[in-house]
Amino acid sequence: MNNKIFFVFSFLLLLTGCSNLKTYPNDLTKNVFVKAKIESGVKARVDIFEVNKKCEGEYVGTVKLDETNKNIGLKKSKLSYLDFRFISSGFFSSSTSSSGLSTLIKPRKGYHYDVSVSYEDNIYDVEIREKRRKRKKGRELKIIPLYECRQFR
Amino acid sequence: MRNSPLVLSVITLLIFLSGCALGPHPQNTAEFRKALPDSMFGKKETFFVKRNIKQVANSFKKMAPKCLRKRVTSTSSGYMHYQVVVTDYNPSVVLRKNHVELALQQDHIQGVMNVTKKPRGGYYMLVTDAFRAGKNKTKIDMYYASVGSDSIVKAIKGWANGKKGCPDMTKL
Repeated sequence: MNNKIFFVFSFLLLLTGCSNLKTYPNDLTKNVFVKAKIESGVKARVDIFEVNKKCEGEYVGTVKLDETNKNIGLKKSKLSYLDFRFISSGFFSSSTSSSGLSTLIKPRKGYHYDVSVSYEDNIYDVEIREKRRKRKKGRELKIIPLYECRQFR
Repeated sequence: MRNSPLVLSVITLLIFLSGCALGPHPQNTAEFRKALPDSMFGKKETFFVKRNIKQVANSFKKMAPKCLRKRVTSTSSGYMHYQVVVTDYNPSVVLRKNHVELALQQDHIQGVMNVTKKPRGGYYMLVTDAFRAGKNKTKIDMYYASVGSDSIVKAIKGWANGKKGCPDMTKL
């Protein structure tokens, strides 16, 4: 019996150990507003990294996007890396797959960012619009991969 | 010799497989277009969109690198086996006068043995041509395998029509 309990406990530990995700602290002034529309069976999240001068990313935390309208605070004038992930599980198997896209972003003072995230019928989209306060229109930001960090800084 | 029917069956199967599957792979988009109609799962589709060739070109130029330049790692496991396949997808968009070509190649980095000559950038899996068909009309020809291309084809059709959205490359 003890062996069985130990086995279950070890298995649970293994499961928790496998997932290194932590919740993004999100204690800064909110400047990124995310609207998500995700079909059932798919889980969406954004992993947030701070990028240093050497263009190395340091994982800060994750925001789950399964519910709509998430407000996120990113450091102004600092480079961040947003990794949007869509995770789905196989219907008949235990396999999971993860897809998505990632971009560098440097939030500017006086601006906010509207992000629309969607996943439907194996098609996903992430669009980031930079807007000046009190202005409706903005410009769509280009997706900038991490390897373009040095040119982007 | 007791197993001779079995041995014969295996040899026949190998001959059949080598004859069927080990033909040379297309080394460029022109060869791909030419070879596809003769292949078992090849498909050519033609349709028109109400956008001019420049708009279609801009959509392809914007969306192809954003959505299709991906590395996909897939793992499968079962009794006594564990396999990891790593595939790079390499899109290219070539602009010509009144013609835009979007091609997608898949390059198996790990877990797949390439038994035929692999073109630079990987085996071709899809070619899409857009031709000017009028002031605000563009003809689209798509060449692809009818199996495993659904989400990519759907996304590219969307781009041709001005929509956005990336195919989930793990669902091919």
